[in-house]
Amino acid sequence: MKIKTFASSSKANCYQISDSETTIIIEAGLSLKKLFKLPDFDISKISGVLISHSHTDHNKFINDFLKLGITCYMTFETAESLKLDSTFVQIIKSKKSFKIGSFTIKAFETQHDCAGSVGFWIKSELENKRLVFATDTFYIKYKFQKINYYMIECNYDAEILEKNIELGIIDGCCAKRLKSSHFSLQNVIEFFKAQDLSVCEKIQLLHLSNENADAENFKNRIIEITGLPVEVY
Amino acid sequence: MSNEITRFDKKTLEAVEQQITEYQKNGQIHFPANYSPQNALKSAFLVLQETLDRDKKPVLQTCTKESIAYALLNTVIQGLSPAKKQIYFIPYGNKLTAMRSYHGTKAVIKRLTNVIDINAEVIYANDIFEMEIIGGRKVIKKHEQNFKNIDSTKIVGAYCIIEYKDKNNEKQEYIEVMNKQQIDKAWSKSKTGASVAKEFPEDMCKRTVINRAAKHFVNTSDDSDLLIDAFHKSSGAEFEDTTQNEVINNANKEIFDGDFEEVEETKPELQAETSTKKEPKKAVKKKAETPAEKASELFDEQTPPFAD
Repeated sequence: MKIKTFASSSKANCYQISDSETTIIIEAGLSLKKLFKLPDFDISKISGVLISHSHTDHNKFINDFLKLGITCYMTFETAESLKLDSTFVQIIKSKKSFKIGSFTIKAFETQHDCAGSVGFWIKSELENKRLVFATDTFYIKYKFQKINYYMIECNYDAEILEKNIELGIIDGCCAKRLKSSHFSLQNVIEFFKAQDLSVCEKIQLLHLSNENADAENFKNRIIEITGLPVEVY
Repeated sequence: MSNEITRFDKKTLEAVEQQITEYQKNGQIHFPANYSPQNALKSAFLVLQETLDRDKKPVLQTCTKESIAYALLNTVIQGLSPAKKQIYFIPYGNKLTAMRSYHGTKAVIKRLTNVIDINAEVIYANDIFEMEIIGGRKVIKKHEQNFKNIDSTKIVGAYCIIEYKDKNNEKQEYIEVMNKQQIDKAWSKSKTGASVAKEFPEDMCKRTVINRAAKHFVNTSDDSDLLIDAFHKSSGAEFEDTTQNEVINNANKEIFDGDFEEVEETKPELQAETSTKKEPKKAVKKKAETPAEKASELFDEQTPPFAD
């Protein structure tokens, strides 16, 4: 499975997952205009778009894809809140699997301040590899099995956040919201401690905050815990 | 079970009562003339006995003793009464918290030593509203409202005025103005709030602007730290204290076996139409059962805890 992270921040999110047969996009936070400029992006190969939740940094340009007749998969709550009117909107349910080409996909519930937010468990039947994608969640309920790739949000470091609140860089209200909607380094560490990493090949940390994160430290801490290659976005 | 509750009741109540008498003795809190902390405590306890958590279990059984005592203490320190719907008891995991309603916020603000009154009003689209900033203070020069202008769908903003006496005993006003956009933003932070806000927009606008004004005002008041602390604890502490609790209780536990289910090949284009038609009914039904209903049960005039 090939993973391309085109954008990962609170401004825009867009990821591409592919095996030798099928290519899908997760999150439509970048416009096609921007995507066309990227060498790794080929619209003709895209078989579907997965949308995790209704916040705009994850779906601002979903109409770009719908207009081209590319099926976009999302939960009912997400579709309702985006007020989409297209036959190419496919409603999915968490824990019910569906197929896009050689991928089998199952959504799972995430913990965000947004109704119907989900993460995705994706398996390439062709390569027999599994990937877990979860962003914008302050924790994940589940223990996954035999996962080869993890794409997990690691938004902020609780210690940096506390300092920033003290210094007045971050407003107390924002901090409260953050704590109940985004993944902290500390909770990500607990997450990886609980997971079965026996076949895991690579970890991607997504959606780092500008003010409350230290990419290098995040990378080292997760490498320490998991002993696996870690990429930070 | 019932035995357990009575035992529990006495112990917790006594401990809280003792603490309050101590505070009173030390002069750390002063209650309003017609407020009886003992009565408030008893009435709070009556409400508590009927408060259920998410799984419909009584909170007295599921929440920790310490959190219950703390919630009761916070209620009484602020001089509030659950019988007047000034405060609600809400369980977050195994922690009970006392959440103030906006009536409660008004009551607490009025109790601050130098405050005369607190009022909030909604501004509609065709109202004549003029404000000015003089020396860094907002001053409302004029607000004319024609009765015909009142229209819940045309709210453009809201303001809150806190009248108080300054050092020289002169009357001053603290004013907080929010436009609809800012109010909407505050609402969007709340899980259940946005939907409730649509139904009772005036009340919710007032609530939001009162909360914001109160927060600013309380922090600059000279009143006892005990009261101010209790005020903040029941405004939003539930987020900080309980999110990590929720994480500890729920994170990384359930096994997710993606391979388990038999998979059927779907044809998205064909299914799209049928499934969008099918889904709404189910989902809407589900929704009504959980957040909205809960909100209306828990909050007076459907006022959920906002993160504003």
